[in-house]
Amino acid sequence: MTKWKKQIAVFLTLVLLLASGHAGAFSGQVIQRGAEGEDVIELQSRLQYTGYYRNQIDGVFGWSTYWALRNFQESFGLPVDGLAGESTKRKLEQVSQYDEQHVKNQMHKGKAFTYYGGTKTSAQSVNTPAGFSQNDIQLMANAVYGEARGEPYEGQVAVAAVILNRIASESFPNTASGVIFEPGAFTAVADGQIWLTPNPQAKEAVLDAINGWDPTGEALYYFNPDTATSGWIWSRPQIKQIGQHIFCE
Amino acid sequence: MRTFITVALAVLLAVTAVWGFRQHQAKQQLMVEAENGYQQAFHELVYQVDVIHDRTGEALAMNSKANLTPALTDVWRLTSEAHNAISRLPLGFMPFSKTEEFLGKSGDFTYNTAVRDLDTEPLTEKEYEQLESLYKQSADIQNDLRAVQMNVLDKNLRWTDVAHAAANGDEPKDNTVIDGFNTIEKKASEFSEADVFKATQVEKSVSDDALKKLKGPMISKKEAAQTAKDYFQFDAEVTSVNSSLKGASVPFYHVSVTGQDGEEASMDITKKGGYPLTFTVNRTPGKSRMSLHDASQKADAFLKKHGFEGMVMTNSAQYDHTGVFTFTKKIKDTLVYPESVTIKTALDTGAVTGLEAQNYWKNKKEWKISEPALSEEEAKKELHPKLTVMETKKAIVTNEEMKDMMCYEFLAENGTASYRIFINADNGTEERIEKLQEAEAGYAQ
Repeated sequence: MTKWKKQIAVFLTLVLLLASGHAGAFSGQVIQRGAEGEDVIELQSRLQYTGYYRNQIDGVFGWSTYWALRNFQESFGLPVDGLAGESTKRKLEQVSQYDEQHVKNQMHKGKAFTYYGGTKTSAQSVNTPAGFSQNDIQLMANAVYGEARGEPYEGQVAVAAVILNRIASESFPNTASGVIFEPGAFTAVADGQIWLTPNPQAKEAVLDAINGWDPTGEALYYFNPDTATSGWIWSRPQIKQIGQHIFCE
Repeated sequence: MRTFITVALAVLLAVTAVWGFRQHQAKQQLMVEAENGYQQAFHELVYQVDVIHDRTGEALAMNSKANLTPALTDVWRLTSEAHNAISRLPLGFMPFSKTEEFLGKSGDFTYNTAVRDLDTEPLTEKEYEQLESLYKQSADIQNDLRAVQMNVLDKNLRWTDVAHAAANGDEPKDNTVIDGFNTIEKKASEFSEADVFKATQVEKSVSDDALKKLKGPMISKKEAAQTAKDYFQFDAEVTSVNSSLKGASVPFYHVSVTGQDGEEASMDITKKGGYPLTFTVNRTPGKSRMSLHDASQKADAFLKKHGFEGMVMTNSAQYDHTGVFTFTKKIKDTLVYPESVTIKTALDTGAVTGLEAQNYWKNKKEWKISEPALSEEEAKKELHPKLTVMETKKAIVTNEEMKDMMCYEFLAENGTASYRIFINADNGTEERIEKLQEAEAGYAQ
């Protein structure tokens, strides 16, 4: 009778151990810098639990997560590559706990959070390209949507690229808002169409342009040859036509 | 009955008249508000050019370095404000870019001389000449602007009329403003032709030269279409192949395709040699099914397959269900940042959905990797003592003067923020410092 009880106890312990080892366990992916999502939340929580990560748990694998991971790898004698691969994840699981529900609840409420060592969580963050805030991107998406919503996707990236080329140019203002609201620069600003709600595609086009895509070959101007009122614009060296717009230097 | 109708009509007329008058008043008020905004910008511009002229004049006569630096700093600030004022005027319909360029270059010049320690490095003969020509040119602009200003005040000219005329594409009633600005612009073009500021400009690293020198046979439209299909990882049907227009830095074909599932994509390929410049595929990826890491390996394989040899990943970021990666040329243990491409991959299928390689081709050349004069440890001493170095690499980067420099790249943190710092490997100068951006909290939802 006691023997039977013992066996059950051993079995239960084993089950518990296995279960705890795999509670909210990582998926099979190798996690690298720049990644977003569930695995990153778990990675940050576990690194915070062990004291290596001191920032907010926000679900984006940024630089501070990267340094925390490298320090963790170094301390535990793992290869220091800043990638959360199989052996690193197993090691983290061994030395830390992760209460998925708790972390997510706190993130959802945006509450200060003491369980994992006194640091805060924040609502899920998003990656933005260096030098631009989400609001800059939104403003540019508005301009792109107002100016080129009927154009092919490439034409929308092109309009965003022209805005960026102007920001970089000596002859134009140095900010996104300065370039967009320059009187007479964009028809969508003049007739108020810039305040239409942009679709996700316009925003994607802006992100592509900020990330370096320039289908215009460094154009500073564009015009619709059917409706252009200014004769001067025809004198600019033309680079390429995309959809209805001719892009020029 | 008849009186009733008459009375009703009279009342209606009165109501309409009152309503119309109110509308007119409201419109008038808005016009005045807009006009005041333009007037403010214009008069500020004239004032700022006045002060630029005065301050450069003073700077020319200054012998004491202690006075010269504040004067130059003042001019630098004013050029930026004048530039800002121009951008608030309704001049979008007419070319005024030369004047803005003049202000921009003057700003660069005064900034560079103002931040310098003039005790150890006084103004050179050439810079003194530049300051003199800045003085003369600002005088010209000042005179013309004052003439316009006098007309505006004298004849009560309104900027809103100029803006309206421009928006409708017809000539404004009084051309004084436009003529005045055209004269200024014409003079500014003459300045830039004379190129007084040439001395501060150095050869740009990002030039089209390498792009123009790419070798290979001229390809036909048909070959361009075939090449494009090789790059798209879906069954593509070519819808059009167009030539670039005259102003392009090198002639290229612009190939557009559509896929079986409605994907739209387009690509630019050089006519000479058929090199890929840029392409994007317009498809919104479904839910991610692969990790960013796996996607980066797909991107790496894609680059190798298409002849981009010796590239390593230097940046990666996930945007919803798309991975965006930067790959940089690595020669021995040195990263050559000017030769970088950006590539993006859909995280549902792992297919490559975009490549941007224009800068890569513009900067491509045979690099001479010299042995740095400083050791890594020596370069590290140039860093701020509070920084903890996390990673060190050797790298070639383009500095502010558009020169390519052999550097040590340090990734470092100070407890709260991370930095990327390039220390010149030959003389220990801090060539560039970037604060590395962390993710931004999502405000939406």
